[in-house]
Amino acid sequence: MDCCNPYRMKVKGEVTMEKLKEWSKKNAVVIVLLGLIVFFGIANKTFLTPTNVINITAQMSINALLCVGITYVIITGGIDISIGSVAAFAGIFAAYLGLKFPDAPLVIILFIQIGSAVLIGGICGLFNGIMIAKFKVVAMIATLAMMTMARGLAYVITDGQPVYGLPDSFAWLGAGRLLKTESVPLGIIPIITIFTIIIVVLMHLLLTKTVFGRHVFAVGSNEKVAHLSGINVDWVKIRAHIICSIMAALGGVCVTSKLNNGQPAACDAYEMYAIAATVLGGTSFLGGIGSVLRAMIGCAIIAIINNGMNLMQISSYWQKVIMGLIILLAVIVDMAQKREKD
Amino acid sequence: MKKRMMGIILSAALAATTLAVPAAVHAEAEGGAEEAYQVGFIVGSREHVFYNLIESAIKEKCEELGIEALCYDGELDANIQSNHIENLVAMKVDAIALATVDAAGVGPAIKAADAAGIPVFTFDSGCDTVDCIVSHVGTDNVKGGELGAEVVQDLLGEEGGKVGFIGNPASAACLDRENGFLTTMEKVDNIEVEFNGNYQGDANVAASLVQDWLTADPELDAIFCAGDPAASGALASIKSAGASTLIIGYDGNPEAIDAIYAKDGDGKWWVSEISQNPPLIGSTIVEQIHKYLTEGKVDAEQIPIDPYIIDYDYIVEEGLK
Amino acid sequence: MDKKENTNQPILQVKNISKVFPGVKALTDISIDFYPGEVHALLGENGAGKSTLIKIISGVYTPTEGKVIFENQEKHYKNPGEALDCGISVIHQELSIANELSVAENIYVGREPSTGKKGFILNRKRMEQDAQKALDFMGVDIKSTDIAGKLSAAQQQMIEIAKVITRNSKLVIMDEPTSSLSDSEIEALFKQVELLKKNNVAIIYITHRLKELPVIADRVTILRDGQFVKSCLFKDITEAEIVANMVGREISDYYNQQEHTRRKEMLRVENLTVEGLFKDISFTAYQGEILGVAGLVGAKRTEVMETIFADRKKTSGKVYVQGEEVHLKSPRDAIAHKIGFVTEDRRRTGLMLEASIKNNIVLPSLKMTKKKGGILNPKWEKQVCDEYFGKLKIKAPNMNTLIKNLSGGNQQKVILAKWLVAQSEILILDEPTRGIDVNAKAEFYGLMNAFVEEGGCIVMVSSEMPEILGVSDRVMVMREGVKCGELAKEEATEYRIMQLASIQSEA
Repeated sequence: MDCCNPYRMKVKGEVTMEKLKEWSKKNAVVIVLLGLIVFFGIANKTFLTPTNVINITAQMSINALLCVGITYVIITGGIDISIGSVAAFAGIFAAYLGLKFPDAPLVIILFIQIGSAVLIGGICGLFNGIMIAKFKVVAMIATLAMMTMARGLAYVITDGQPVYGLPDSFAWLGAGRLLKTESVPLGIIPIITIFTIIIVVLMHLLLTKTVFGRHVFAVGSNEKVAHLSGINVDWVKIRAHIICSIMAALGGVCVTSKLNNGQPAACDAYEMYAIAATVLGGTSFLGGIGSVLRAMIGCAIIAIINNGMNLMQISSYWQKVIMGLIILLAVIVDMAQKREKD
Repeated sequence: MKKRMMGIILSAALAATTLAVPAAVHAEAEGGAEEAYQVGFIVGSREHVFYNLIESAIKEKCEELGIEALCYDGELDANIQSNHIENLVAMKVDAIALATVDAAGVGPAIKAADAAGIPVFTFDSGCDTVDCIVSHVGTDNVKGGELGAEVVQDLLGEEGGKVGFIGNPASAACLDRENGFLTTMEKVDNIEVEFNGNYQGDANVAASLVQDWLTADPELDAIFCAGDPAASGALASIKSAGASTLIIGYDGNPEAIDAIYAKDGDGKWWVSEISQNPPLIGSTIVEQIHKYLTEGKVDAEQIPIDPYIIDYDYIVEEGLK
Repeated sequence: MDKKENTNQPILQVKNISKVFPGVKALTDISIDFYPGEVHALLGENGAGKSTLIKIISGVYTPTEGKVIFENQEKHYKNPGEALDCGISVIHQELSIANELSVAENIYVGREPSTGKKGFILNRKRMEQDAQKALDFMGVDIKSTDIAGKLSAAQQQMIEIAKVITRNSKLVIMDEPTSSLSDSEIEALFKQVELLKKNNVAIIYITHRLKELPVIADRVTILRDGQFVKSCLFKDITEAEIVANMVGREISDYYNQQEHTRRKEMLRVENLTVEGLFKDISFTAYQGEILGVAGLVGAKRTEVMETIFADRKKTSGKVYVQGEEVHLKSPRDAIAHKIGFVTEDRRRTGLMLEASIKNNIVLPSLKMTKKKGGILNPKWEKQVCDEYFGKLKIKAPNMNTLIKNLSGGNQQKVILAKWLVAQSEILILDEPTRGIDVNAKAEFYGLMNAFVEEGGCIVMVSSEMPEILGVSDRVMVMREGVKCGELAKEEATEYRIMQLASIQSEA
């Protein structure tokens, strides 16, 4: 044991300094977000129009849903790279069921959509969770397997064909809008935005206000301590994976609904954007630290970059480069946290 | 990276099957009275409707001509395609036909097959890095792009207007379409190509692109999509924006035909389609291989299959619906 | 042992050294002389400034004020390498051994003998021979070609000493070298220290174990809060004086020794066995007493405790809580039977370092206090935290402070609070005061006594003999997975315990 640690005394003497540093580091992402808004606002006259702002909220919804779920898993110290494929699988499944009920009322369609997400997400998540918690398969490998399986099943269901010809009510969740007025006959507020906000708030409360949420953090902070404190670590991990997959599946169903068309190749590599946004939001790969609401800042950054660059007609090649830089930024933020942890 | 990891897992599985299958096939072939021709086909990817249509045409034609078809999934990965070629060489098939993913990448494997005395054919996308391809059958994608431009001119008429293009530069075929479209458009004075975007093969990305374009210019007149998923995504955004932008798709998938045929539904926007002819590509390549194996020659080194325009009238006339 | 007054010149002098870190003064005006051929013990509580001082001597830090004079020359080391080249070696508490390399490679790491024009080619043979020479000189049974990772901790320490010898260092700083060694290993280490002394090497020896001093120390210097307190020959000072100088006050009842009254049976273990670890462990712990569990490293005491807490699966045996047999499947069951377990490694198995004090304290109790639907009860959380901050005198800005920012003693109090909040009646404490300073220890013993007085029961595993003797009402002794004796308070002496713990029993 170090018998004289000047650093400890230093830390004690500068608790407020530390907090300030912590604050500015965490809020560096907020500053980036505001910077982007100002930049695009000045560079493009359309960017800050209400229509476009509303569009951005709708465009970031799908990534937001994936983020919410993967935040839970990353907080437990795990990872899930199967979410893109699970989203596609659930989306295709919902579309396939939707085809069978062409004349069903909206309520039934919604039930089919949400039900497919819960069913497919639940099964995939349970499978991932059991592989990881019970069979001790490394999370990266277990979810890699799920990634290929779910994608494969998405093709199997439809024999590689897109599912089309869905009833119009199928598009209500993903493409519908509320507040129809005479000048805006199709409505102003996207239903997908409202849906996502509700889910995000619920999942935020689940994470911060419940015993289960606290256990999620505990498992990620120190699995051994959690176990010795009487927490069923395996069960917490399994539930986190179920939540993650259900959220991904909801995202996938929203994609299908938005396009009113099921594409088996949909949501390819979406896990990358979700992970990037989550880490941008301050969730640490080491586990134990993270927030659903902060992940939304990461989502907003990614959505704004895409949207702003589309509006400004920046070449898609440059878009890729810039997106890569953003992901790198995410990793650097995470590394900074890691260093602090050491 | 993802694709590669998937590839590793799948190729392990494939290695097992390719070891087992040929043994069984050969045993059967040798046992039979007359030996049927055995030809290996490697499609670009079984995850694409387009290739699936080619593959079924290939199987149908082979059965008709008494050729035994061994079909493989190239998974859009040159490495996997090369492995398939090597396996087919080892099986001593009579010919190999493939839709190349990365011409340079599969070049060495093709040369090796040629050196082993197995004739190699290409379809859909060719291989210009080697000179031993017996014949290539594929869509003239530049022509397809030009056709798209013609349709746009017809639709906008004398007034002209503004159009967008959605492509996927990662694919050589899409690049050809883009070139054909843009060069033709350059010559047209009253139409401006206002937007040019990359949908990365993802309909949802196309949807976001079009939503943003329509925010910037709600009066956008038409969008030419270099693939049907892009058209699906564009359709969703145009509908939800309440715009009247017209869509010209590319591929000719059943989904597009349904949309165009629904004159009062999706057909209000999705008005036309540049169609490739995957069944014709599939049957032509098989015919050429058969001809080469039986007569020792092919019709031509390059056999272009022309794309054609599908619109409501065409669907009605041809009785597609 | 040579303890004559040393009249020769000091090899190292620090003069009026001060060291200021941003916001804190770590050392104030320290002047000490160190003589060759002497073991100079540097004493002080955690935070007294010992580490800062040796870091200045070994060139890690530059002093804010004052001089370091080595062999009559003022030195301004830019980095530890320069100090090392001058002949100042440091043996750290955590050994810097590369496990995959051979002993010889470890000894000569960074200064491998080489041949060839530019010295590119490693002369392995010479390196191994030289290393072996040093090891033979030390009289230890280690081959220079052995792989270092396969050696015991004590043997690895010998490698560090061989490094010192092959470097011909004139000053060796040893930072708590005995903390992970058994008694026989410590003896072997001290032999090497004597050998270094005979070769006129000066040794600065940092330790928390005062009982080692009579064996090894020639001179002691005591620091407190970065200030110089006292420096004298060891023979001129008593242990009580040392402790008093370290803490700045006389600790009259250091262990807070109290007579407890044994009441009803709380925990009974019968023939507990885990195949390959320990066998047939039986004991009973009562309400109102502290049962000490003594033994040397390797006695498997921790493993027994883990098994009782159901963190480890038992092969056979029975556990009774308050007279009833229980079948504990996991720590959850143990907690439900009001057992709490303070593990020996706070940082690894005791705390969520990145979490707040509050979240650490309430973790095992969340399930018992949740509202409908698994909703947390923040009001209750705040209330219990306030309560135990007061009761245990936890020193921290507030309950949302991250636990990693607390001192070891306060961290330990938080862990105790966690189990008290979970209403534990049986507490298993594994090395509860390891690595915390004297004052914090005394405070912790007070809390243990209070818990027992209020009707609790404590089973305490400890490797510190004074702690076992000072705190326990009864002592169970284990050796290599077997219980080899139980001593009542009156019969428990250091000699008896060591006898049981280290010598093969007759039958």
